[in-house]
Formats: sequence, C-alpha cells, structure tokens
Amino acid sequence: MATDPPRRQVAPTAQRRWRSLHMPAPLYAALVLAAFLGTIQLAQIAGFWSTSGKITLDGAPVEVTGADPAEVKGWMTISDVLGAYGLTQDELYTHYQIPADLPTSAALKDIEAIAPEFSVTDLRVWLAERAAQP
Amino acid sequence: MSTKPAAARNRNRLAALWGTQSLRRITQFGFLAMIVAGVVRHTLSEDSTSPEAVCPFGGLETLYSYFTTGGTISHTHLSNLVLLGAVVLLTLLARGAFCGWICPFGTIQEWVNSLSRWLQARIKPLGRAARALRRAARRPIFGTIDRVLSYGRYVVLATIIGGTVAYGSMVFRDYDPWSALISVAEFELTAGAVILGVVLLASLVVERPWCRYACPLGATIGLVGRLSPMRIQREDSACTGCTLCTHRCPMGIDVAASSEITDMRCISCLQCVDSCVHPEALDLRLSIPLTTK
Repeated sequence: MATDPPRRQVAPTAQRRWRSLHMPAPLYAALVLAAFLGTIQLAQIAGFWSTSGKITLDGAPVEVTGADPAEVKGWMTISDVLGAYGLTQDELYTHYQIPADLPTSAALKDIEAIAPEFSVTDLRVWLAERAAQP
Repeated sequence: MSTKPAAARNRNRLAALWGTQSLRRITQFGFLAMIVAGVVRHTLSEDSTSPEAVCPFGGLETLYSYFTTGGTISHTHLSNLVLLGAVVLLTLLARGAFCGWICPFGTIQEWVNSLSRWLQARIKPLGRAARALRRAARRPIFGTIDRVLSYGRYVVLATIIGGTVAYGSMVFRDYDPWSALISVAEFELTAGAVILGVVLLASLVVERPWCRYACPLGATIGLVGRLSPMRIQREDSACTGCTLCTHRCPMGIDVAASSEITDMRCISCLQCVDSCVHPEALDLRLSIPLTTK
C-alpha cells in the first residue's frame, strides 16, 4: 500500500495577537511606491531638498564668506579660498607642497590627487588655526 | 502542440504581468534605470546631481552632524536625509521592501545570480559543479556559518556610525562597493572597487551576498522593520512541509520553520509566498494593532 511521504517538521501556527488583513500584491507594490516617492515629493514641496552643496535651501548660490572654515567645500576653487581667507597663493602652495603651475581656478577636491599633503578637511583645520592666532 | 486557445494564453500572460514578481522586477528596473541615468549624466557633466546625493545611507551617516551642527558632512546633502526618512517610513509600513523592491545594488546582485543560474542550466559542467556546491552548503555547519556571518551587517553598521561620529567624515566611503560602482567611470582601483568585485563574484554562487553579510543599510532596515505591522504568516494547517519557500528565500531564512516571518534579514521580496503551492499556507498580511482576535 502506498504511503504518503514523511511530512517535514514545521513549526505550529502561533496564536496571533491581533486581527490581520490579506495584502494583495498590486496594493503592496502601490504602497511601496507611494510611501517612498511620496515622502520625497512632500520634502521637495516643503523646500527641504537639496542635492548640491552649491545652492542654499532658498535656492541662492553658496558663496565662501571667510567667516567659518567649516563652510569650505571641495567644489570651491583655490581663488575662492584665497580671497575669502586673506591668504596668498604662495602661503597655501608652500604649506601643502602644491605644484606652482596649478592654476588657482582649480577646484579644491582636484588638489588631493596632485598634492598628497592636501585634503579639504585638513585645509579647514589649518584655516581655523590661522584664524585663532592673534 | 498547445491545446490552450490563444485568448487564454494572452489572459495568463496579462495575469502574470500583475504577479508579485513581475511588479517587483518592474519596480527594481525602474529605480536602477534612474540611477544609471544619474550616473551617466554626472559623468558627462559634473554640474548635474551626484548619484551619492540619492543614497539613503548617506542620510544615516550625516544624521549626527545634522542634529549637532545643523550642517551635513562632505558628499551628503538634505536629499540624503529625506531619502533616509523615506526608507524609515517605508520600512515601518512595508518591512524590508526597500531592499527587495527598490535598492539598485540588491537588484544588480539578483541579476548576477540569475545570470549564473541561466548559465548553469546551459553549461552542463557548470550546472553539475553548482549542484554539488549547493548540496555541500546544506550541511548544518554552513547554516551556522551563514547565521554567524549575517551579524556582520551590524558590525559594519556600528563601525560606520562610530567612525562617522568620531571623525565627522564618511569613513566608509573608500570601502563602499556602491560608491565604487557609481564612480566606475573614474577607473580607480580603490578598496571599494575590490570589495565590489568580490561581491559580484560571490553573487554568482550566493544570492545577495552583500545584503546577507555586510549591508549597513540592510541592518538598519532590519532593526526598524521589527516595528512594522506587515508580515508574512504561515498557516500550519495548510502547509505540506515541502520547504519550497525556504529554498526560494534569497536571504537564507528558514521560512517553513516559522509561523510568522519576522526575521530581520527578510527583504519582503515575497518569493516564498509566490513559490508556495497552497495559497492559503503563506500569505502577506497587515496586522491591525489593538484589535484582538
């Protein structure tokens, strides 16, 4: 006589604490898209959205003021920093051993590949130390 | 010769398009296409949005800085914080859906694994080797290793959060395979590029290796997902114990041995539900708190 194959040991159904509803796949997909894209859309409508450090929350272009070294970003140029923080090109280039032929129109983030001593983080620290000196 | 009329076949195709896995793959493809378009645009013009600006994990890395200084750390913006919020909300509502339905890196790993299976079906020696590997992987010791390695996600998460708070910069960026992938046009051999290569190679034999063992965002989603009312429930009375669901799970969860799938590794891909031959045995359900049975 044929017998049924042995049944694998499975966990018994636990007592459920709360009622639950079946969730159809299309509704689940719609929920996933609505929750994710809806949050992004709401943030954009509220103005809480920026994908670049070059623009402020109000949509105005960010400019280096020279007041706080923390504002220095990798996309800023050497000349931006020289002008705002009262540095000479020679001071900066000597301190970080930057090749003299590098134009001051270069972005700070591009210096990292040329001068191993340089990093934007280190530049911020150096500028803050200079500002703290009497 | 097929005995099915053409109209019935077309109806079946239409029904399959609305099937869970079709919807999931269409969603995954859409988000991956958006990221690829962003990477191409940014490669052609540096003034366009960097793909890094739309990474939710960047939001988690910059969260401490945002609350303590009001600013974001380098390479992160408000968009990263918004995306983190979107992922948290999505996780509270739909558990691991970000990983299973949206994350482009998860999609790429899935595709690499699918390609591997496609090749295994056509190249016989490869298929035999893969079957032998799968048989060996069923040994209990590999189950234990898989379980232990899955905690690696939390180690990576804690290291990144601790490092970011301590140094105020993205300490993980150089090791991040996703960052390496979206910067692939720079052709730099970084630690992240090496990890990316290892992940893609491992994807040929293991489903979603990065998601399983190292993803810090997946670890965060797993923790937040504990609060979600959405869960897959298994009815013992309808279950035949065939374990198809367990074998289909890309995260290695023993679905057949649970009555509710609340495992923090679950990515809500619903492949277990789709593989079940008895629709009433496994079901995606939304619990309604404070309504007793």
